[in-house]
Amino acid sequence: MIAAITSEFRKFFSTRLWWVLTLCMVGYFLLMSGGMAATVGGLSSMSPGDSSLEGFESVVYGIGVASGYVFPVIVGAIGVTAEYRHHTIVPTFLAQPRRLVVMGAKAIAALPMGLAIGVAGTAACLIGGGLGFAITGVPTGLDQASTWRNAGLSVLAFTVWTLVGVGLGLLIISQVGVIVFALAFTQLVEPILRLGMSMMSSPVLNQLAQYLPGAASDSLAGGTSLYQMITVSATTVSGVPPLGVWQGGLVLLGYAVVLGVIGYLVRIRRDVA
Amino acid sequence: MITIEHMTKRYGSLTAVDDLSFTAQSGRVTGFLGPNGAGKTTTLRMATGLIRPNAGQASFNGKHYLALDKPMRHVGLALEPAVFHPGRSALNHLLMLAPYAGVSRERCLEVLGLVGLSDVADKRVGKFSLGMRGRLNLAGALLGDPSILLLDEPVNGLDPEGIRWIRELLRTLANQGRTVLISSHLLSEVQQTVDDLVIIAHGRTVYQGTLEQLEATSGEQVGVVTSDVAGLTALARQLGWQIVASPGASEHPGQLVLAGVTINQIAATMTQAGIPIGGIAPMSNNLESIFLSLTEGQGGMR
Repeated sequence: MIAAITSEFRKFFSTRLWWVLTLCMVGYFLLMSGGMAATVGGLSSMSPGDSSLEGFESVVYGIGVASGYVFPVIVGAIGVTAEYRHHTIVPTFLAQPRRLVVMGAKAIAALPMGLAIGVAGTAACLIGGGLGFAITGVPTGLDQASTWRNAGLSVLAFTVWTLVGVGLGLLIISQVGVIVFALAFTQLVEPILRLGMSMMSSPVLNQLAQYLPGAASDSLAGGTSLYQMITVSATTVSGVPPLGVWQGGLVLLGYAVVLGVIGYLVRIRRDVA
Repeated sequence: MITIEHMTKRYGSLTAVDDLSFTAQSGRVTGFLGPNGAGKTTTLRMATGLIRPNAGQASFNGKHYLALDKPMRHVGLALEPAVFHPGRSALNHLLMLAPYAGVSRERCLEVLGLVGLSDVADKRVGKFSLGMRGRLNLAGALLGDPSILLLDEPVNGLDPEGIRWIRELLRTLANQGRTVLISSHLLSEVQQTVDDLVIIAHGRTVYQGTLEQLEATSGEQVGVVTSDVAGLTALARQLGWQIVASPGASEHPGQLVLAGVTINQIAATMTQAGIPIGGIAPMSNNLESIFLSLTEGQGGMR
């Protein structure tokens, strides 16, 4: 198992993808959080005393995990999809014919990678957001414990998303397929479902909406996303409480496990031509 | 030693490998031959657990591939097509395999030197020529210093110098007591390298034995063209001449290939019996034509 994990690390760091991807993510998060912070700061300096703009620091600092989790998904999936795309799965399976060991190693190796990309992504949001606030003369909130707690949870959420990526990779196999699916689902399908189900006057649907992966992730990350704020304010009307941090984390982890197990059973055990 | 026993693989109604059995001995280079699509690659993939056979099994020094601890230390494989991540350097390709083989970076560099790729160790494989890819593929097979080597079309893409080099390397490896199995679709390509031959066609073994035995079966042969094939056939049977099935015999109905008799005897006897001779000539019956006659009309399937 240790051999397989070592091999996975060497695979990951021996192509250019990891730093290109990290660079893209960090740049994207810096721009988003910085832009958002500057906008909020600019607005609040124009209308001093407007309380509707308070508490936006957590949203700004959490923008990475709330809208950019496609990056850890790609990092997690790439270990599987790149091997199938370039057929290097053949030498891998020849070197370790027990495929469960290979896939287990990919999942374990994804953990520190997820952690690392989580630290980089979260730091980018803190730096971008902090600069944006500081430039526009708004308190950055970086001196508050809750900011750092949320930052820690954001790193954790990134890590779990990386595992979801491994699961998706096992199931979909195709690199492009994973990216298209992840983008379409997280940016289009889920927001519609989540808003729709939260707005309905059915407590069951309100409850179910909390179990969608993005919602679970937002709960895990400390409930800092805009969606979470909108949907929670909608659902609290019907009395359905949002998931807690741990519940959200477990639900998201559940997605990773279920995707991975199905993928392993139906895709990975097949003949390799 | 490699033992393949009753391997069978069916794809729907198509039987790609049909009850195939053979062995490859240690200390010898065995050629695994057959036309493209005869089932060579499928057999190698079944033997190594990449695809599941419908029946049969393979063993390496008595052990199933899946039961080997660190397979790379026992069986070195270079399957075709050679696969690499194009963005990974040659050294990194080996380093990725090294933990599985339980070897160090030094061994990776050593093997790169052995296959003559030291100068391009840090070059991306995407920029490699076909011959360089073949060498890197071989380096991966040698990495764990295995006692069994299984090389799929190892001569592919090599220049004449490279071919001579690999022949010497394979001979050295076999002389060290290793089992070396090389597959090819051309007998001429491996003729100078192999001790033993396994020839398959249509997913079945059609010949297993030494190269010498195969050569011995090819005595002097004479091709005769006549308008009275029936008469000549009767005469040959009467005198105990051997009638050889010749490749493409059906396209040349006026032609017979005879063996166990000299060209002069045939000419004299036919003249005596009044059978017209349209043409008569000795046939240089090389191994390739035996190979073709063994596999004729049986390939072209995948």
